[in-house]
Amino acid sequence: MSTAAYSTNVSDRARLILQIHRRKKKPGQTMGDDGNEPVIRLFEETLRTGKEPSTEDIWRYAGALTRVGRIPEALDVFAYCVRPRSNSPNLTQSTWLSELLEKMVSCLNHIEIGPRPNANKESSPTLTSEQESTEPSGKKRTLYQREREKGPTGCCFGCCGCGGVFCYPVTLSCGHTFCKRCVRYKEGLGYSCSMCGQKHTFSSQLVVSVIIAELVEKLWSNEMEAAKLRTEGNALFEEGNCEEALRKYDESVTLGGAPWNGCQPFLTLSPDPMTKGGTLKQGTAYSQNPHEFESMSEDETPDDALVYSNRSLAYQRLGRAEEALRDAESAVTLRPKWAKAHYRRGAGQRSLGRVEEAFISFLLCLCLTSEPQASPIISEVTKVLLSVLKLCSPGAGCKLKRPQGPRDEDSDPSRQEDPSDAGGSQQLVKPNTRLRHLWERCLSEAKKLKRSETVEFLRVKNDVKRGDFDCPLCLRMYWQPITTPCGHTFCKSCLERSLDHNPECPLCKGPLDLFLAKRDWKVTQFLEYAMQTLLPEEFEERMKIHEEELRNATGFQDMPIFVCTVAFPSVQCPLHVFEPRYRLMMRRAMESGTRHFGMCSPTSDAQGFSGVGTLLEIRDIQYFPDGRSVVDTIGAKRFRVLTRGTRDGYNTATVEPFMDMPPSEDMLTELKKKHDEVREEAERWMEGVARSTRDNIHLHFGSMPPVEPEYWTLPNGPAWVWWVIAILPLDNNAQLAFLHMSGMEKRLNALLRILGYLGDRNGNI
Amino acid sequence: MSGVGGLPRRIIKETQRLMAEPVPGISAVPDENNARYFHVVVAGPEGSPFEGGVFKLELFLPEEYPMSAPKVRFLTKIYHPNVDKLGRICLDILKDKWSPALQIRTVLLSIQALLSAPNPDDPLQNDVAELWKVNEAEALRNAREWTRLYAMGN
Repeated sequence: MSTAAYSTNVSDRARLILQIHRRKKKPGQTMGDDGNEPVIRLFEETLRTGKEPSTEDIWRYAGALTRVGRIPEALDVFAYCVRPRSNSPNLTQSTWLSELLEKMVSCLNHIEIGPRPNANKESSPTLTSEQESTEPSGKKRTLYQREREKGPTGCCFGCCGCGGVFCYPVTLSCGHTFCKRCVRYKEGLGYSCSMCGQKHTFSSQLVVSVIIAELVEKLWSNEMEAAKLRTEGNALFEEGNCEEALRKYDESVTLGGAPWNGCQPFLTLSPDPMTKGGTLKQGTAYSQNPHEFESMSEDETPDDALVYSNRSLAYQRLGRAEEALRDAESAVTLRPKWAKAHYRRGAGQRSLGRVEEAFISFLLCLCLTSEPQASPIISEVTKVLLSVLKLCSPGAGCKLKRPQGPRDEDSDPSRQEDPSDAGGSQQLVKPNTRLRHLWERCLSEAKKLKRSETVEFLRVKNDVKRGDFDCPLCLRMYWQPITTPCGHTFCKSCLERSLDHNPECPLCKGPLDLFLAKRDWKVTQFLEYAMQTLLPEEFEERMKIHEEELRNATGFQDMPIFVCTVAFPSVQCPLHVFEPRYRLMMRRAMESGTRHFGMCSPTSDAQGFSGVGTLLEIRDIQYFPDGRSVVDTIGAKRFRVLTRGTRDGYNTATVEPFMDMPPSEDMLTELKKKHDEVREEAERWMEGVARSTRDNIHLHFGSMPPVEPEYWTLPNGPAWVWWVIAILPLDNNAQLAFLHMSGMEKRLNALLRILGYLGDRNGNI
Repeated sequence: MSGVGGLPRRIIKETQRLMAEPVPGISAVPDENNARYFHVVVAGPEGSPFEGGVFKLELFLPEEYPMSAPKVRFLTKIYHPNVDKLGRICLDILKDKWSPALQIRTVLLSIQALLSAPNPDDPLQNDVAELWKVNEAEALRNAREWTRLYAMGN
């Protein structure tokens, strides 16, 4: 076997192994060591044969190291690959680099920060597949996703798009609020919410949320002014007028509060012995106190990171890189978990030739960016990675080391220095100290980032009143505030009740029929958050009131009574609910989770409804677009009405259970005989019914229930009796009479009489 | 703070607010025995033929309030194109234009405004409205006369 053939062979086998393993890979499984370990071993075997591996093999080897999570070693090998006088990487090789980048990002995102935030010893710089699998599967969350729960920038009071103070706030039906201009949508294409991804289509102009606009004006008038100046700056910048834009940004910064000069740069780089010169030294103008921001006095308004980010871009455009970087640093400090700020910093650092620092910034930016937005940045950062690798690559004369014999006997003293290598394979490329140092710094920066907390930059003046959050319908603090497309906000239950009566906005009379038909209303997050944080006690109290009300409205003590028809135990009873009061009753039954109500038949006396009724359990509700519904219910136990009342338009009653008297032992044989006789009679009667009628009966009531074992012990007797009573052509009073009977025998006798009568009549016809 | 006899909190709130910050020229006091029934007194607005008069009304909040409009009726006889012999008022917000965002206070303000600006084009009392359109001077005279007869010194 020739050397060349062997080499190809190794390469082919490696490819084959990878392919097989890739095919075997289960969905959801992460890029583990499957197939990559053999590739690594094969490569090392090739070297042992004394032959120089092909460039392609070395690249693949580095790629395999990446995939098993041995990032430091992968860096060593990649740096070797791009050493001076080597060819610049082709497309496949660039893909390997992108993969390395993604692996680095994933490693940083899953980094453990440990219980002690001050522990400065990094545990393990590499990410093994074991570590990765310790994360609860399917619940992997990146730093970015964690942040999303708060908002894209960690600021809950700001716009869900730009994170800044609201400028014409509009609330979408998913409950997220944006500045009007931040909802960028194209006609017909709609807009996907940046928070929850829900797709929105707009049939009309977006309307400002009145209550939020009022609150913003009350709480953040200064910030609003500053944001206005910033927006003007942005417009000038887009026209290409950077100088003028800078002036606006400066004004905005000044207005935003005390000039920001206590800035602690987020990225504090320790002097690196390997770098020449002091490029990594910390700017002396910055304060050393990391808590300075948090300890700012109450009346000082912290700055808006947006304006720093925007100004940084303007400086960058003007070629004033130092200033651009300084502003980017400010933005990062203000909002450590804001991807854009890190990006701006990276851009500034790159302009100043600080490639390694720039790479760290870009990498952190990627950690904070969600999947689809990341892809254009990845190719850009891959280029930065390549320049870093080239910068740190060993000289042109560097050679691969030959593995010597079995792994366990090793004379290389460098092995002891590098604990990450323990248990792993032998190193073929000399550890690249500079790159390893860089990776260590990436890890520590990511940890720092993970620990960092965004301070709410929108400070709230302490003059928020309870009345600021009053629902115009119940005149109480909002509970589950819902904002309509016309920009008005109500408690969810208040709005629902109002729409039961009229599909219009209670405040502006604007049509809400489409809004009603959609039925996917979500709580306005901003208001909920504002109430929770600004008026926590009142919020808690309001929650308790709501729960108590729901309990009271549905309890057995004061049962809601639907006055409509006679319902029977175990017989289904479909209802068409259109009256507003019954819409409310159904909603309460569903919301409280009780899913039941009482059914009584109307009476002409002063009482209004029958003294005995049946509890109906809701099995399903189907809504029509206009809010009417079809409720599928089934009869449960019977009850006797003790007292009558009303609530919000519908009847209520205190009730007690009503059931059959258990038959005495000596009567049991007689009763069973009677039961069988009546059952037979009923079956015979059913057979005599015209086919179309029978089909109709089956359609509405199902088929006749079978006889239960020990049916005589049941509180309502056998179910089939109720079924027959329900299908017989009886009037209300006759049906009601059956419901009132508290003994099975009585019911059977009455049924037999009616069946006999009906049978005779059938016979006569 | 549980509701008095199952009275919705909104009614309690509205009542409290009416007591604490009364509307000028209007008083509304809940009945001792029925918190849904209000004794209302509206002063005839300045510059209207009802000036100087004191008009009694009754206001009742039905079970479904605020989802349905309050029922309001003049108890004092009044010569007005939008009020009939029985004291019933023709006012859109009390009928199809009702909104649960309206309150007792806003309803009474609307009634006060109706006294200032009668609307004979949407009449309830046809003869009064007719006269109001044909001979406004005489209609105003009648209104002033009725005010003097029924709404003063009582």
